Amino acid sequence: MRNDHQPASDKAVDSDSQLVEFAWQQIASIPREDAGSSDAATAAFNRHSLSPDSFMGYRLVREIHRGGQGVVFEAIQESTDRVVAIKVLRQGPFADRTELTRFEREIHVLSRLNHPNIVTIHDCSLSAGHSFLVMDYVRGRGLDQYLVDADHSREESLQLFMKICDAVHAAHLRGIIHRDLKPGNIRIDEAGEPHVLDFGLAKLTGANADDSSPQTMTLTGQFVGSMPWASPEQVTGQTNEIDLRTDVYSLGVILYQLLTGAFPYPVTGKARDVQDRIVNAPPMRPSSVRSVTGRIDGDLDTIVLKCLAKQPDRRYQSAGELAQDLRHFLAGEPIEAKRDSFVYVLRKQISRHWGATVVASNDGLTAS
Amino acid sequence: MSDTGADSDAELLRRAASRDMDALKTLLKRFGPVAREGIRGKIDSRWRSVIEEDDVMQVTYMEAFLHIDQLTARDSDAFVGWLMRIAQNTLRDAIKGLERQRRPHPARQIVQPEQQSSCMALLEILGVTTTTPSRQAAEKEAAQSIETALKALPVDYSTVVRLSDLEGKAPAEVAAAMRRSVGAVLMLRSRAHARLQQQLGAASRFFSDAP
Repeated sequence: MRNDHQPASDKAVDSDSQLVEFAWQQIASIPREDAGSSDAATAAFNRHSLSPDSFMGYRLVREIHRGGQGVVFEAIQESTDRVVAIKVLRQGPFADRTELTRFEREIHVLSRLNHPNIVTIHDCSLSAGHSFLVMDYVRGRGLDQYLVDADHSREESLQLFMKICDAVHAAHLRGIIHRDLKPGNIRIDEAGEPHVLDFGLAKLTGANADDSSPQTMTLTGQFVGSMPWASPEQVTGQTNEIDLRTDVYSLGVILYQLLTGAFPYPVTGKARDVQDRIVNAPPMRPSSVRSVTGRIDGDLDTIVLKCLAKQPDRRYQSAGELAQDLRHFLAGEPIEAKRDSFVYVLRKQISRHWGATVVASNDGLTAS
Repeated sequence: MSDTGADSDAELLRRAASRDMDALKTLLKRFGPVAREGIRGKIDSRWRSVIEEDDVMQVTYMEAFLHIDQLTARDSDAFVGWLMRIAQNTLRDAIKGLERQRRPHPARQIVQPEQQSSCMALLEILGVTTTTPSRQAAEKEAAQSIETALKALPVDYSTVVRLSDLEGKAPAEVAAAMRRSVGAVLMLRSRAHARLQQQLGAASRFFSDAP
């Protein structure tokens, strides 16, 4: 093979690498569920040299998702007739060390987690060169579809979001940072319960820390992940700065979407422009987004903007704190994000007091 | 660029030809700057203020991912040639769009503000016709089919179609909303239309009249 193609310059290589990553993010974000016909499943099996009975004890039904790293199939566990999800490493026997490490990491992480709102792992093995893991099949819809469907009240969205925060907090307490939180990685089951998925980019911290955490930046400084939900420290490659507050930022983007249906900044356009907005542009207050129906309380604005602070120190210091402040908000109590303002706390207390007084007087009136 | 080892061009091409996106990604990073040379200097001075090389290359990379099933190159020369052709076609589409914008064809002007009518107009532009006899039913069907097809497009493609074709915004307005150049918007729109044609033409309820 001739080898006379030399790139124009390092700058050109860098620029094109970023453009390729951005193009790939666009392609990888296309949902595959809609293409889940039997034809699509057959094609998927063919592409992977898989047959419906490739995994002993399981029968593959259809492809339900194709991500950057793996392909997820709906399958039946033959011994129990239970419907499960099987995630197969995309490149099968040709997977390189990085991908294998990432896949093994997800198995390792999921096996440590036991939370009703985090997908449960049941089994993992190797079959015909394909590494695979078996998880709960969450029948329902992705949070991305939930956002589009708009068939829920704001309070329902907030209740759902708090459960997601609690699940992420539970992972944090086990020393696990997700690093790729986005609506596509959260599924809502038919009972309306959220389930956090895809810990393939997760990082272990504290006593669990080791050197094999998958890198969210390549050696050439390219960001790997999902840019619209990525924090400033992620997109600029400050890997030492990535901690649980990085997940808090991503949760903030998701909360912003739940409230407004929009992103805090435009996420289309050139990769470097999107990156620049994430790092430098102040997000618009959710209440001032034009497409929003109904009024958004100023306290919700404050909560969202605190999550989206550029400096991790200015964000909520944990997903638990964020959930707690949302509980304060829903209960009509002062939120922690504004605690430092005496006037604000006083106003909230008066408001609650008057609310209670009015209720009591009404009760009194009814009783008399 | 090596010819041996796990990341040799030959090995990556073999994997990419069997639909391995990661291998294609590596190849694009490796040879993209070379393919870029194929459009360098090809942007006429009239259009340089509205078409940027980076825009052309970003769309080229998206197209490469979307057309991985057409990749048959067995060596780096053929791969660069394939990529260059995509880049040149992409640029050509943008220029065509700009030229058309100067003298728009009446049939290509979207004037209906109502969503379902806009969907029918979009189908007309795509050269895709519905087999449903009732116009009302056809409009509903068109809206549903387009919505489904849009979901299967990259975000930039679906955004440009929604803004340009369904909301009837002018290229300059779409460019401002997407923070892209007018040339990039026209290029994205042209590519998005081609993808939609492909998808809607393949759908059971629609067939393509386009040559």
